[in-house]
Amino acid sequence: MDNYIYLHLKDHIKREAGQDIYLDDITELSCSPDVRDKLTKLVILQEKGVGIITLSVVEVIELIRQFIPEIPIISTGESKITIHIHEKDEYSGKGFAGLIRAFITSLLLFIGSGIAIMYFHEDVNMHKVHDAIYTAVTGQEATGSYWISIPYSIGLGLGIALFFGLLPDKNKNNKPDPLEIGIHKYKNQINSYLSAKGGSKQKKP
Amino acid sequence: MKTFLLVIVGLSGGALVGAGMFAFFIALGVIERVIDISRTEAYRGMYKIAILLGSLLSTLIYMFRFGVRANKGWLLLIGLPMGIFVGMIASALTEVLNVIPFLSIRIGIIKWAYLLIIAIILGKVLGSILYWGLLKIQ
Repeated sequence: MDNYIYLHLKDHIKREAGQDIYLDDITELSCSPDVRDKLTKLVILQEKGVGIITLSVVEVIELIRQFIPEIPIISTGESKITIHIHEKDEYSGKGFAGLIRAFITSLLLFIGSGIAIMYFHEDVNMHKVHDAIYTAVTGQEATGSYWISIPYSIGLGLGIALFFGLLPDKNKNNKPDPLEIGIHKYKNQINSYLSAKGGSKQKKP
Repeated sequence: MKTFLLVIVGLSGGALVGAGMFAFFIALGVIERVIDISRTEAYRGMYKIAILLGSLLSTLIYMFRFGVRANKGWLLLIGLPMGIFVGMIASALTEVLNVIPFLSIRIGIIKWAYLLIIAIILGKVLGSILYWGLLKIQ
């Protein structure tokens, strides 16, 4: 009978602080049932505080072999795993404190983007452009016309809403919008940096 | 000789600005996004021509004072798409610079990320309204 342990290490996992991490959490295993029963209870990391820990597959195999020395192990997954132990709701911003932070950040962005669009208009000489279009359409000279600046201002808001997929869409395909992709990419960058650096914030077991 | 040189300079300048402008839109991903939203990938050839004609027409308007004598009401139809496009460019720039993901992860408010976008929308519209002098704050 094929008596190996096939071990597939995951890329990274996230856990809330205050719980032990078992072998089952960080790997997918294929092995005989009695071995599996023993292995899933194997504690890889004792409960510790918040931090980022990187484990290599060799370290994991070492732990298993101390436990069950006789069965050969074959690794099929990643060569290391980043374990991110965080406080409850570190990122998501649930609760009242999150709402306050969101409100302050919104205020910052509200004022900042308002100023930025004014800078932009001034920088690209938008007045002149609007006047040129006014002249092109009506044949009259103009210095600033509400006929164009009002729809322009509304369109500006619409464009941003459109870009981020905020407008209601009947047959919305379940594709992620640019913001979701952006957040995902940014998190991945953090994870890949931490895994490359080896998780400096906490000592390995 | 002078004329020839001017033609060469003008031609190369125009070609580079045109290519640069188009590359800018592509790099920002605005055109892909529009195609994605409208689900009209089959017509992407048409969009190239539309962009080409649009750039050409606006050059004619800006450089040669090309124009018609039409009712002011048409401006409403032109102003809205102008705003939408600038809004999308502005959003794409924010997105390329990773402003919102950075803020929402750093400050820990991913749940409220869309609130940030709504704040940006309101801010931009208000900024634009103030810039055009539509609103006077006493």
